[in-house]
Amino acid sequence: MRIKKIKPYIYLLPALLLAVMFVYYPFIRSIVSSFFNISISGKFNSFCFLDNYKALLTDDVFYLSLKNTFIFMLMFVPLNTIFVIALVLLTLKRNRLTNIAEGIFMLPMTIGLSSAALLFKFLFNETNGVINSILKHEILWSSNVFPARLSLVFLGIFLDLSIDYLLLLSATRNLDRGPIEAAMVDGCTSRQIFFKIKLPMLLPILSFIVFIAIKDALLICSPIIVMTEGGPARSTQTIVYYYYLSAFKNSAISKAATISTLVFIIAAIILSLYKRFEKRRITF
Amino acid sequence: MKKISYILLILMMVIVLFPFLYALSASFFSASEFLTYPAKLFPSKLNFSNFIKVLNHKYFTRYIINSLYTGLLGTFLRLAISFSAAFAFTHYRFKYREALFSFLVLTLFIPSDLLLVENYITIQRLHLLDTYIGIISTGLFGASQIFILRQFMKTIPQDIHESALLDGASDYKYILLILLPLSKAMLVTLALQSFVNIFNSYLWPLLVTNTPKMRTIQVGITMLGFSESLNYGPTIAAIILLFIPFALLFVIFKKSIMKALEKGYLYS
Repeated sequence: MRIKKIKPYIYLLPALLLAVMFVYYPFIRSIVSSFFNISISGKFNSFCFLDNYKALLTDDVFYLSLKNTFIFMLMFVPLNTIFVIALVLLTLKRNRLTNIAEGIFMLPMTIGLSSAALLFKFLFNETNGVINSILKHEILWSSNVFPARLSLVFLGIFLDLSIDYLLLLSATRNLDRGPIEAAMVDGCTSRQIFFKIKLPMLLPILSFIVFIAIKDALLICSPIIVMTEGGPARSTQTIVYYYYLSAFKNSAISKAATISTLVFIIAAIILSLYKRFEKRRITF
Repeated sequence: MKKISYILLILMMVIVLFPFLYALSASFFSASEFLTYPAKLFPSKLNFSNFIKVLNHKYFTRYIINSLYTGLLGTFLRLAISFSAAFAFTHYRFKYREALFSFLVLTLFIPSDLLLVENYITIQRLHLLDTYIGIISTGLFGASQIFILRQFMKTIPQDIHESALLDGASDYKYILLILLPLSKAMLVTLALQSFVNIFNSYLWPLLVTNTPKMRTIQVGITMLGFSESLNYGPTIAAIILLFIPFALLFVIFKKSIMKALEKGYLYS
């Protein structure tokens, strides 16, 4: 009998241990670390309360990284959303062409992040890249600020494309036909049906896609390591890339912990805004 | 109107397909063909030297083996651990069941990218840097898999389990003979997703491996050391070699991936 009682806990044990070891422990430890001086090997040297925060909040590079992150977000989120919506609208009706298109729009999901980032680095190379030669313009993708940001946005869209597209496509195709048919019987135009019926019904999945895009923009790091390395002149250095640099290039563990704590707070704010938005929509 | 939308669709298809087509074409370029201005779109002849160079690269096959090994082992362990947890949540009643479930699922709201430093320190302390266990360690726990499997197992009638136990079967027998066959389709989709996910992960393997011998392919591909001379050929050939098997895998499993998506099962 006793064995039977502890059985479920035994089944749960590996998952619980891993969750504590690789999620909760590092989460709490990085928050605690932000109040301490930490050695390179991760030892707590001395308590310094808010000194790390004071240092970070007077650090120009920190503000620059935050600014870059939000600029990236402002470019990436709308472009990504519009692009995905366009792809879904164009492939809504099933025929031979859209069937092929579906397959093509799934491809970006199959290529690894670092392969894609390398490929984009080659494509957007400013001296011998193929994009410039197709556009017949010498756009300085890696030495001018705006083109560099834009190329990173393109990479971001490419990386998120498949999953967003498939999510929105299947949601759109599985819409409840009832209200749509009723509206058609009542003589609504297809534009009216789209804006007054389909779009409101798709709002939950659209807001989810936007939320994921905002989260991805806030946390973007790996594509930057491979493609731009934060350049030119730190213009693509985002906040999580700064976190990575602080810890692994400059061995500033306390600083990294402080950055991560602040980003946790930003992420929590974004999450709660999303939840609030979701709730309001439901009551409406 | 219809014509415009067809033209737009074809344009979009070309844009999305372009990086792949260019990579395929450029994998046959000779070194000098990368240096022409304007850049070329097609190779002058099919030359396989880039592929030969990559395949003869000192570590390329080793990188692939490392990725396959960590991908397969990580997938198996992640699914086994998630399966066992989901089994407990759906087939047993125990104290703190709901609380423990929330405890596991709430991890989804903590951005794992910001735990890298602390996790690195943990792995370093355990002397697991440059080991396979180190590479897969943070991928072993999959909250979304537990969530999905729990949802799925909830749909299986509980009396089967109870009568199996009454008949003297053990949990082990019940899982092996009844639960696993029932969850096969679900497990295949989850395995595919986990494998692609672990195989393609970049940042964590980059951090916990230092010796070339232990690097995974997604890390190694950025360090092949060909591109310094502006000769992208071998690296692009490597990208193509990696891309083709995955593209095939997705074409084969397209239907089950779509099905999983429709049920909201694929977002991790």
